[in-house]
Amino acid sequence: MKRITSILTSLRLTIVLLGLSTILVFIGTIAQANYGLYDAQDKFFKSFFVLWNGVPVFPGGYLLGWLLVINLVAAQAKRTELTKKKAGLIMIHTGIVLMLVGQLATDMVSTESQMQLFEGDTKNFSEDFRANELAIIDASDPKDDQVVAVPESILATKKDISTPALPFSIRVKEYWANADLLRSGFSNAVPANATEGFLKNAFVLSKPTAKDMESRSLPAALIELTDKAGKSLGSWLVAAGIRSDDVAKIDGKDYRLSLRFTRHYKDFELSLLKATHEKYRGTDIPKNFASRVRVKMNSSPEVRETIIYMNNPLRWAGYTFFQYQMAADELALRQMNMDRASSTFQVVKNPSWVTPYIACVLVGVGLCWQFGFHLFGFLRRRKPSVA
Amino acid sequence: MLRSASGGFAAVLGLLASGCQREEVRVYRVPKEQIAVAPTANAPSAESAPKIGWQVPDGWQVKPADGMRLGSFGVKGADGATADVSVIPLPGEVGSIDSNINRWRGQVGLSAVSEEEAAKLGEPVSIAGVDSRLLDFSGTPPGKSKAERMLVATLERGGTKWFFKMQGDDALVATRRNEFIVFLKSVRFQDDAAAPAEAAAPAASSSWKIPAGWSEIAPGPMQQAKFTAGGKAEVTISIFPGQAGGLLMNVNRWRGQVGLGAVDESDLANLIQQADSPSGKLTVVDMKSDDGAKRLVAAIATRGSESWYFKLLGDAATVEKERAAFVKFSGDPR
Repeated sequence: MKRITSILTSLRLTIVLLGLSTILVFIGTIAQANYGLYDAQDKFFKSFFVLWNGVPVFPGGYLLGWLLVINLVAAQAKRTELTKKKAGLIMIHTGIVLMLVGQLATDMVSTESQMQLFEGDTKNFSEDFRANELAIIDASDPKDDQVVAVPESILATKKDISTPALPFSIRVKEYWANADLLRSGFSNAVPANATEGFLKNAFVLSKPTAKDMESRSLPAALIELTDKAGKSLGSWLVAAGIRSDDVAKIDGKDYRLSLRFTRHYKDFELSLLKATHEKYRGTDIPKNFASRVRVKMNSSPEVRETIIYMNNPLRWAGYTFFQYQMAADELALRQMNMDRASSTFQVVKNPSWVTPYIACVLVGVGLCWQFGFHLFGFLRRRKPSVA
Repeated sequence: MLRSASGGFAAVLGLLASGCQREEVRVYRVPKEQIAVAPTANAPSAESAPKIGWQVPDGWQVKPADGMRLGSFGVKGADGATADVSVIPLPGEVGSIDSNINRWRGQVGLSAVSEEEAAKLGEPVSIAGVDSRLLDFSGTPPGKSKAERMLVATLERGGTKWFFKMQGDDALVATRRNEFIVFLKSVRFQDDAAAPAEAAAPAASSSWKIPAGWSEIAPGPMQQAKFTAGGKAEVTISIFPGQAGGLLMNVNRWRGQVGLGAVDESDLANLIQQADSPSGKLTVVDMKSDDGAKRLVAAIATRGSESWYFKLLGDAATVEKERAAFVKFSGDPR
């Protein structure tokens, strides 16, 4: 125990961890060229170990982060006394720990998504930038819909899925992480062999997953629904980005099937009242993107109208809505054959968004305290004593 | 002190680990999706979205079909040049193609034309087996400094007007024109499932009469099919509307592929041979690189308004061995 304590509190461990972190950041940054930004983040930083062919070969970002936090706290707990003289040091270290923990928390619990609205639209959900889900919707209730959402990561395991909410099981017969759907087959495009639905006769051309930040992978899956006895009720090809709106009729009830961008539902709804896109005269340089929106809570009659524009996001119910994209100028509308302007918001939920601010204040106050303490002590000593 | 701190941290770690979003099946109820539609909008709702399919040419980036688009693609060229392809259905009365022409011309900075002139613009193109017109406009859009080109074709079907459009960098769109035409041909509507197989869409692999020793591989851009032949040669099939540049230009392009210099019209007659085939006359050209290592045999067949280009290219010995099978295949591919 003593030995473990001495390792955990040693400055040498701090240096080793900082060194490894530097190497990890370097490798992770270089790896983005091959893996793309998001996969590299997952593989190198949002993991406890960097795996190579399933074997851990290097500590991942989470492990190094946690070890640094433990090392910092343990060292402080061992060495620092709770005195006025050391109060500054405690504040500085607490600030750094808070920053590390805050970042880890951001990584683990924050979500980023987007919401596109045309003028006059109202929505109560945003859509994920990367994640997709298989949605099975029972719309038989006249008031609301029951949604069973299966994340793509579960589809990718190709395991059978069942939930008490559905009278059938879902068997994932095939899964493609990124695919084009074709109406005919080339040698490496395979017939999906679905027995039902809009994409019944489609061929699937598997593609490498999207690497650059501007594009996203559009997965596809062949799913078979089976009853409790395991009897097939038909198979459907579902694909992200294609509105097939297939309906499976089971036990007299309609279930809508779709592979869609993962939706994040809110306790409120947002309406786009007006989208304004101004450019500097005679140029394409944006001068002002602004969206006049109305938010309304589901649980109360509270309504708020506000304007979201660049650098002026809307913070509401734990979410931040940033102005992200816009198609509102005459040319963009004409090019897209649209008669209504649209605005897209980046929707960020980060419960720990305040931690970096607190951490900075703590470090700042701690530094002032510590330097001030030394400065005043020095000045006191320098003052000539009156004999 | 240390023990209590470690205990505290273990608790925090546990808390955060449990807070980490584990992916699991979610079941929830949501109010019925109600997207208020402005009275002027005529966007098709998801429920009424027409069923359409197509073949996306290689190199086109599939983008999410948002807004009013049922299909959305990005095309990238050299030096950051880009073009955008959209498929948009608009139900109801949206005006005739001629009434839209001046709107499109305005988008690329061209002046308006009279109705008579508008009616003469464009060239025939087939979309989902239906005759249409491909309009091609280029110019500098208002407020922009770079020239853009727009290819647009429309199709009316069951009260819905379909707009297929490629717009972007002038040079890029010009070079991808044939890809766009091939894309238009590949369009299929769900109720066309029983359409005859000879429709212009690239055929299923099984429909080619593949000679022994050949195997089909993924075709490249603007190719309908591609095969390896005898291990060291490749056969490609490309289909273009019209003459696709004419015989001389294509022969010189092929000569360049085996390192030979260009010839002029007067030499052409000596280089080509005519052959009969079950599908009509074939024009065959045969060329070898100066060192004798590489050989190219090409066959051109005219079918209706289309030119079918077959090319066998590879190691000279392999091409020699496969030549007879290739010519037979070119005359009767499926």
